[in-house]
Amino acid sequence: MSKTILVVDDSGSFRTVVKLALQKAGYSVVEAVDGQDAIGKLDGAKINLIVCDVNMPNMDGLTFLKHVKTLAAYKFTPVIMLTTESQEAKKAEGRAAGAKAWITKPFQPSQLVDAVNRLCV
Amino acid sequence: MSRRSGGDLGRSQRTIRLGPLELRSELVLLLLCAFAIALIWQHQWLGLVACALSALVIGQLLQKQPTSSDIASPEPGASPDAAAPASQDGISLMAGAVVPVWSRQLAAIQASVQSGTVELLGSFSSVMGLQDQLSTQIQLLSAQSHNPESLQQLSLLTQIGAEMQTQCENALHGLQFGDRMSQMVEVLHQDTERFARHLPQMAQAKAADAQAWLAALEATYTTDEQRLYHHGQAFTPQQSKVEYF
Repeated sequence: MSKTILVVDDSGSFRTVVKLALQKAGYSVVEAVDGQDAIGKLDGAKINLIVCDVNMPNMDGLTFLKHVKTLAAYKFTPVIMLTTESQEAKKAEGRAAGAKAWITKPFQPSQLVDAVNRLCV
Repeated sequence: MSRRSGGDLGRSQRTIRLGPLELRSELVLLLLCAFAIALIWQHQWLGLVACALSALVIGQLLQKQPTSSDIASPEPGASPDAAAPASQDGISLMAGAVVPVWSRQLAAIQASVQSGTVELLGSFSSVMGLQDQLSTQIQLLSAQSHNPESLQQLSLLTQIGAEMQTQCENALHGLQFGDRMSQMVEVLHQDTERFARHLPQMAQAKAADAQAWLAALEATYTTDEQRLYHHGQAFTPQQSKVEYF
């Protein structure tokens, strides 16, 4: 059975790019449009890894990341931040909140797949 | 468009148009006063109230008529203080007329880029599906083919398949620039609308206000590219990298 990745991004076209890259590598993908939507999508579902944008409406990626780390079922689920944001302060915040990797957009699909392969539990 | 002369304007300020009748305002007010005195003399209080209301309506009509300062440019040599309210109105008028057009154009660019990206992604999704089918067929054929000529052709097909995969990956990388551009335009779109809302209060703005505005705009950027362009600096695209924590 393929592993499932939750992709959280407010841009539909970006979610499609990530989905195409991950499906090609054999992963199943669940999509969410922002942090709030992603919390609803978790709800007991088996998620092996989360790929999350930072700047999103309703609930941004860093707030979502901090929330995920408070949930017993997902506390150890690896999170990759995939974002246009490249400020060191934001990266430090992500690292402190428990992110496992930070990828800056635009990314090479093979880079993302390598990172997912490496971190996926 | 022809502009009315000052004399015409002056006449229009002192007349009241009631259907086909055009009456001089002083004459109407004089008649109302005379009528009011007659009503007081006769103790017709209800009529007096009606008379007062009529005077108020006439006053409103006179206020609504355009004045020369609303339409004509300030006279040469007029004091700046006298021209200030007109210039405030001009700023509001220009902002109200021009900015919505900018706004619509920026929104159209965003929608166009997004719809183009979605269309391209749909096509690439199909191409990637076909490339998967091609790989599967090559594997099946290579298991069945044994003669050197067939194996040579299969080797060529395998190379084409691998090249297609590389190109699809490059395309997925390139398609992300459309999304990035759309985000950059969105920031400008929002700032344009904010600017239009605040423009009428900017007549007395100082350099510090401009700095504060630009700092607020810069705080909304998410990319190094935007920050560099903001300060007029060149941006060199960097190879994306993964940072592990």
